[in-house]
Amino acid sequence: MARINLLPQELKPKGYVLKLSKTLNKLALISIAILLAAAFVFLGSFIFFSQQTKASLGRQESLKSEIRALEATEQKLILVKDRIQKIGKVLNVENTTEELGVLKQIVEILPEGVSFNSVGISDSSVELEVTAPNLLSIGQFFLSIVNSQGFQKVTVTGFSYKLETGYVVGLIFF
Amino acid sequence: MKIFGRSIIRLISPNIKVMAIPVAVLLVVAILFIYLTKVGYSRVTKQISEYKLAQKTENILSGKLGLLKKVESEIADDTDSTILALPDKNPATWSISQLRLKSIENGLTMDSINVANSNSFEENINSIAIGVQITGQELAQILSFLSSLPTFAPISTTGEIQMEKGQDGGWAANTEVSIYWSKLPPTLPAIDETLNDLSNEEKTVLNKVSSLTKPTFTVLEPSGPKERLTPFN
Repeated sequence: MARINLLPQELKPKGYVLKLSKTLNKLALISIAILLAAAFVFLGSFIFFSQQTKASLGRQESLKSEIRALEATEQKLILVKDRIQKIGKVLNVENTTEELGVLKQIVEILPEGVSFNSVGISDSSVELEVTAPNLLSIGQFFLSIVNSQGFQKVTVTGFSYKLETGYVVGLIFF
Repeated sequence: MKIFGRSIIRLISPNIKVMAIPVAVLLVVAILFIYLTKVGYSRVTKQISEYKLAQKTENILSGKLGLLKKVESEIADDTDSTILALPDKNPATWSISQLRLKSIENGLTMDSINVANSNSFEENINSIAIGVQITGQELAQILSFLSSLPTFAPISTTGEIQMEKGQDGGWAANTEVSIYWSKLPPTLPAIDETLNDLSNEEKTVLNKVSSLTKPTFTVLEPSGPKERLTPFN
């Protein structure tokens, strides 16, 4: 039996509209699926990270209690670090330790017959006065200074002769 | 609802009727998607940052605990050395005692010793200068004494030195030794604050400090009650 559509033709949607409608239906289904997937991803991530955070906070509490048990050690370490930091500052203060080393070097190369009269040590130089019975000893002393090559700059500040002591030479070692 | 006796639905074109449902669904999905992305993304991002912060704190705490366990056995000796090298109170008496001992060791006579007013060397570090005048027979003795000054605790720095040969052939020396002290740290840092081990530079300073000659202290032992034969004596 033939099927007869009794509805008027103007009530029937057009063909291209029907096609578009089908495509939109498919799109709607796909978008619903994407929406659900996105919701699942967001919810899953949220639950995962909140669980991880909770676990981490639990571990933190356990670590904190262990650290509190070692509070005396922590105090000592903080104290040592504090002292060392301050001692480091004090050790950097300009002092005469290096110049004392310079004086020791001079003592080592001092030839026989030459002796010190006075020594002044500051944080940048060593000033001294030596006496020698003859010019030969003075010459030997100067030669030792030159040969040692351990002094950056040496200035002769005075040269005189005294009958009772001999030759007196003033020098500054920088 | 009816207009001119006909239902509104009947008035709508069949083309629109067919399209209405999928378009409406798409619109609703789009709105929901925008809302979900906005809310969900911000919540997840916030949760991730909270997790990262918790991880960071946990790592700090874990590192701190490891460090404390590592240094637990060895830190006690270092504390004593450093506190003797830089005490929390004016160590003038310790330093004077050390100076006297060193002068005796080197066969020198300490002619005078004077202590100036204390001043602030740097923030939280105080210093005081001790003027020292010593005499001895040989320059070498004085040099040995002066060289020994940086080798004892509490730490000190030596200022200008003047040495003169006397008429009798002996030597006299004048110098100023500065000594230092500093208050102890008043509080511990927060429990979740990073705590680092000693750096190489700090270890070098610590080694230097540990090798300093420490001041000797006399411990007076308590004595028990004695029988007094004469109660008024």
